[in-house]
Amino acid sequence: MKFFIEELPVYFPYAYIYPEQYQYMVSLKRALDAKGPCVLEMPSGTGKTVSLLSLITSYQLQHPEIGKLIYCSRTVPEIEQVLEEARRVIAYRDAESGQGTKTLCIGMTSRRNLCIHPRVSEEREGKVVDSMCRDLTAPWVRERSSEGGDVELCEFFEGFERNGRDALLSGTYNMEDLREMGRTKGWCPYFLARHLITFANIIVYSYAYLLDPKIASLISKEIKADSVIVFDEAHNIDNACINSLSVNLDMKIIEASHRNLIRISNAITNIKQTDANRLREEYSRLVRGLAQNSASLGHGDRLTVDPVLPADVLQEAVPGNIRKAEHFVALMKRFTDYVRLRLRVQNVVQESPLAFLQNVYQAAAIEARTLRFTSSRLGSLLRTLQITDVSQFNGICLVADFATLVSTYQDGFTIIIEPCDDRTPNIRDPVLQFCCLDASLAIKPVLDKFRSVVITSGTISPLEMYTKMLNFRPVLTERLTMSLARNCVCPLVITRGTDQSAISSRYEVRSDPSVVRNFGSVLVDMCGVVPDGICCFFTSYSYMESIVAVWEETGVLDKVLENKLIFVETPDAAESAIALQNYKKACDSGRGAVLLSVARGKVSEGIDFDNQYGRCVILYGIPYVYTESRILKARMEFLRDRHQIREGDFLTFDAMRTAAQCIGRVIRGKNDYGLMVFADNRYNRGVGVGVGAKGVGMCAAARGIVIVIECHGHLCLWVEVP
Amino acid sequence: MKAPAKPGAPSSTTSSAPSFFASRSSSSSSMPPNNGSSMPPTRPGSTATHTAATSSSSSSSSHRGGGASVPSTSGAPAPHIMEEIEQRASMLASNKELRLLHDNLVKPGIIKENEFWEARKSMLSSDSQNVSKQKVGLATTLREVKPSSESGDTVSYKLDPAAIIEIFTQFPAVRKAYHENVPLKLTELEFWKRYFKSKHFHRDRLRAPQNIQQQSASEGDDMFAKYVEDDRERFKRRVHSLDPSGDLSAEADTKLPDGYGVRTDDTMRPAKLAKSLPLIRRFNKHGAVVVGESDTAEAEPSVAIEKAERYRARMKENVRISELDEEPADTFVPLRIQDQRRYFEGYASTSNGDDAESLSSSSFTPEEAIDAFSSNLQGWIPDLYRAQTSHDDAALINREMNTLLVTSSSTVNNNNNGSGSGAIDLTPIATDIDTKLSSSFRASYLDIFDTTNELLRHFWSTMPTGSLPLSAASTEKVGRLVKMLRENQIKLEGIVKQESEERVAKEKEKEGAKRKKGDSSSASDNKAKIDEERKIMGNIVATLGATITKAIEKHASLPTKKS
Repeated sequence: MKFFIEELPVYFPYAYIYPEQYQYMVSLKRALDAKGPCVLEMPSGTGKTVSLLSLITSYQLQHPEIGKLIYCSRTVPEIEQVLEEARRVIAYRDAESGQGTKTLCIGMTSRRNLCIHPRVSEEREGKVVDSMCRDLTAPWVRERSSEGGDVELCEFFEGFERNGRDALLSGTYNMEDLREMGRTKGWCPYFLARHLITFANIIVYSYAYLLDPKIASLISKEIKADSVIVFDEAHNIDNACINSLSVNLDMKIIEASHRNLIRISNAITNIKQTDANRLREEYSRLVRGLAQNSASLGHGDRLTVDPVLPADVLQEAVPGNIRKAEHFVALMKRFTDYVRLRLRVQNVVQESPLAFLQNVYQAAAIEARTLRFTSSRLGSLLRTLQITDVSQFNGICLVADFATLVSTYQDGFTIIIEPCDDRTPNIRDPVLQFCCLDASLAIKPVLDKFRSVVITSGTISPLEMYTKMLNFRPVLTERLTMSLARNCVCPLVITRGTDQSAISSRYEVRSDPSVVRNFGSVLVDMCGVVPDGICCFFTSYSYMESIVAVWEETGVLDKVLENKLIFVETPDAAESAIALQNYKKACDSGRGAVLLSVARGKVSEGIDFDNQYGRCVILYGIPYVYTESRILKARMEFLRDRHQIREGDFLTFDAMRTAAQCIGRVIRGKNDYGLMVFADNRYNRGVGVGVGAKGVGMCAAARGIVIVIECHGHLCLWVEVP
Repeated sequence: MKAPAKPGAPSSTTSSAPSFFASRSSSSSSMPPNNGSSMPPTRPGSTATHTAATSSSSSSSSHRGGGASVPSTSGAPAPHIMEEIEQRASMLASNKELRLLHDNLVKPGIIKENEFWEARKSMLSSDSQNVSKQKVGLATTLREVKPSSESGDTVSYKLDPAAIIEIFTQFPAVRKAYHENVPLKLTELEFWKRYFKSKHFHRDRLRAPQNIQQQSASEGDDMFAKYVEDDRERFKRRVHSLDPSGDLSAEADTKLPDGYGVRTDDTMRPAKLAKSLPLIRRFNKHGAVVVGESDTAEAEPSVAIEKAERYRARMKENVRISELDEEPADTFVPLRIQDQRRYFEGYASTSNGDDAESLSSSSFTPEEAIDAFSSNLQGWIPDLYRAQTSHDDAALINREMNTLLVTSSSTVNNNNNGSGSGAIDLTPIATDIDTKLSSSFRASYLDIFDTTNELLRHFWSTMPTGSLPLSAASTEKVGRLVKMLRENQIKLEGIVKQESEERVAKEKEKEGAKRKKGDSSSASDNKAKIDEERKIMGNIVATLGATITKAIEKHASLPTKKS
């Protein structure tokens, strides 16, 4: 269907449109006109992605001056989904507009997902794939080969280097498409995708490619400022921002760093005997400054990059005392030793980066200015030494990155050193955390650079919270609600178990036998009446594990098995993925299954439980974040001082978005339907009601169909007669 | 320290095994010898093979005479014949009607086994498809081998075949170990003893006795360790076969490497709390086994491509919001009815014409229909290669025969508690006429009808085309068939006679009773009724009789062998 929004012809690949989709597009169009950031909320299951893509691609057609559309999502499954929608939208737009535009739309992801090299792609560990790939594609390896040396090269990379760069492509390429093209043409899909970023009209990739300075400067540097950036599923964007600038060091890393340093100094000794010239060349490069240093390396895949944001990258020459390789290694050794020393604390220490730098200076005589260069200097050294297996050098890289970060940023960061885990005070496991408290830092360059930034999600309210935390002024904020022709969701709040005792995941009562038993009987009863798939979410891994153990002992799981199979999310992602696949298979075959997983876990974001995969979702307790964490406390303190956000508000907000994510997994469209069970007596009061209402996309609560069941014994009766 | 538990009391383990072998051997007695009945309890196919074997053993008893005799001419039959025989047996076991027919015709040797099945090839092939599609799955519940008794330092386990199957499906490594070691290297008992002692057995169990876990590696461990490696390989393969839409591990770029990012708090760090991991794994594994985790070589390029295609199609379907799409205009296949008037009238008479009135009011009475049919039959030239009946006649005959069959079968069904002797599954129409025919008559009539049908089919298919003489074998067969047909004809007459006699007797009784009550008004009604019934029976017999007669006539007119 083609229609107009304020003179803009919009090509929408469906014959009908939901009212909220239209509203969404109107708001989006105005935001694009205003050329500024905007925040849009629309519940999931309303076709948000298709609305976004359809409006922006139509806008691109009308206003050729705007550049690319960069669509950021969180997980690979989500990225794949977006690409599929884009394929549809573009095909429709091109067919309807009659303009034979050459639109290129690609999905960018890691080597691990794109590699087609027969040996390398066998590996499933991202780091290992990266390392093996570098072994085959590093410039010096190729140089050696061209000099006639007997070295193995990657034929696909060579193929790409030969003629892949001249490829003129149009169309939509998802992961599998890229790999297939790579196979038929003999080009490396990963480097092809990276190369295509410059030409593509639409790029779909993960947040990290924009927010994490280490990756962003490699991948996204070339993207022009007139582009439109979309952060979809942006409800966790503050966490992504904070993670991209934080580092934590424990003894394992320090040990690794030591080993790395030994290996590096051996390599230096070797190279001095064989090819001392290389070190001298590096030295003179360093005198000219780091900026030129990296520019002089044409190859698009630098091994390590500054972890700091583009605006903070230094243009000066590297300080004299670390230009020589041995000097630099000695300095890093001193710094590593200092960090090791600090890890020997008996009590928790919290200090500001400034204080830490002061201490470093006093104890190890290292200046902050020198520390700022460690990252780049290390990268340069690793290149000079022609080291490819960077994954082995994670330890030293981390220490160097930490040094650079701590000396670059003082405001909005904190350092916490804990001698042991609070739960196991007898086991020493010291960790030094350099923690970013200010989420706005990482996103600021993006907001500053790009023409339009759209932050959107199904659950992003209270909108003010985001604008405060990310510290920006949107040109438009809009909340849209879902229009429902029928009641496709049924929220149930269960406050008491069959034996009339209250159920709650509050820390003090959560391990009570009665609570655990009642949680169990909710599941058993649900399994008896709900067809196909049931998803359960627990507040944390540890809680799930303890409950599963008790359920096993008390026979709850045996009763569940009478009706449905049980699958459990495990810490290992691959294992969970297989469990998930089997869960879906069990739902497909009509056997039915229960999936036990964790709020904030892998399953709770990015995996859809549409239709038969999720006819019921049970949320055990309110998924508050672990409040005893010192980092959380520091962060809340920062929010209170800087943005006047009260701690309680933040915790509720955080629990709310997590709950909404879990609950929202099961309703992926208006044709879908499902039962949403909130098992906690706090859902019935103040805070909890908000969470519950939020979870069902606001629609249900507004219609007053949140049903509170004091005792879930009646529940099954009710479910049978809807 | 307590001595390690000494599991596997010899008596219990062995006592169950012989019984299993016994049941196995009984089933194999009806089967040719190369079925591998001397194999250990389960072969790789485990449950499927096992259930198949037992089910056929139960059925084979009823028709052993025919079933086993067929291909025995040539020692060991080829595997596909074996399969077919098993399939025949299972079909006979599940289809009561077919079995009756088989009992009536094949067992006395009127029709040969092969001839009987030759005519049902399509049935067999469609049945075999169903068999492969509908496999009985595993139970959802998780069975755990628990010690049956525990006294002092002896723990005994009781294993029945089902438990062994369970262990094999849950732990492929154990199955492999079993097949490679039993019976050559270890006895069965020894094998299970080692299994229960090994860590492999206790690995996935939560409530394992402490001392077992601390116990140093027993000899069993070495044996199993070899095979456990396979599990890991399998896991790797499985991860490879995941498609991107469900691959949680594909988040390589959103996941920060160790040390970067904020350290997650300890409640979310499962690595530290992995106590219950074995338990969790057990459930996941059990689920995988039950849903039939496919372990086929996904690496094969053709499979991979097909998978990619499937994935693409699914993604496409996934993102579509069907609600917003224009519904495609329904496409109909135009229904071509040659004579609409007849179609609708016929429909009306079967749908609401539950009484004789509507039947007679329609333009064709049963008599007319049968007349038309039999007159048609009179002039019929039996050329089955170009068998043709005019559409009008076909419709007519069809309707009439349906009515007859359905009504009779429906009543039979009612009487037989729905065991399904009626061949045609239409909505039963209980007309007055039908209720008047006694059930015993109906049953025996149907019996004769079915047999006659089968005989006629064989008869006409054996008939030569044109004037070619019959071969010796055919002549012999035709002779048999005709003899049987004659018998049937006599039988038919017999039951009709018996039925009408019974009727008359009954009516008399009734009338007598009524007369006693002084109710004479219905006497004339009754008479009309009896007349009507006689007519119907006459018709039925005439139809069937006519077909038989036709065949016999044909037979008589055949050029005799001497010519």
